[in-house]
Amino acid sequence: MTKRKVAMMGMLTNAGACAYPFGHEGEKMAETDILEIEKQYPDEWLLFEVYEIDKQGRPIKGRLLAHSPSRAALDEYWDKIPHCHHSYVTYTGERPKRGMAVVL
Amino acid sequence: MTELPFNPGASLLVFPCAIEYQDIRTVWLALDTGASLTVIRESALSAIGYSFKAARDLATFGDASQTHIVPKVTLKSLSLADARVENIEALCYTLPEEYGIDGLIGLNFLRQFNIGLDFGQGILTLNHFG
Repeated sequence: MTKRKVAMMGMLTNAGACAYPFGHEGEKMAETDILEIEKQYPDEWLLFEVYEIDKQGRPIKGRLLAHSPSRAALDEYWDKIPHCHHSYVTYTGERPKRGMAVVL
Repeated sequence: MTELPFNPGASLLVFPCAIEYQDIRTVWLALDTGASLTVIRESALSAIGYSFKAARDLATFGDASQTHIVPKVTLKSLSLADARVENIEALCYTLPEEYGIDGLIGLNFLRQFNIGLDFGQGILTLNHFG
């Protein structure tokens, strides 16, 4: 992906590309179904502002702020935007990545 | 009683948890009965208002391969569904991105509850003492 294309879709951080949907500059976006949004971005990290959670504490309504294959890029992006009171970060791929065994 | 579904065949048992300091972030943490303390990614702690400039407490912990000295934070609360513990300590440590999680639910949270892990049905239950 060229730098120009990245710039058109979002921002280029030191850690990689991070895209954001329209509305990132203060425009109010309609709240969205978080589970539906997650399906649109497989194997990516997603950052939401949370409006509603279910009984299990899982966010169900919110606004997508950014998405990226790179978690570090998402963190860099967060540092550059006004913060919301309740945010949510999730990864839509496998945890851990396929074929990886974890010893904690 | 809190009941949460999980995938019994998964490599990690991960759950959405709300961490609260000044603000709130919901993150995915792995349940780890082998962790003495809860562990949270540095950027997630920054996101809820924790300032590392003000960090005074450091803690030493060892993982499977080495020893680390990391900041120790007292969260306003940690919630797993409606199972909530206030004023809970957490270590600041960033696990590898490939794990897909923001940290670990450690024993300092888990020991506040009677816990059941039903691998047959994929159900985690937590009953608060008292």
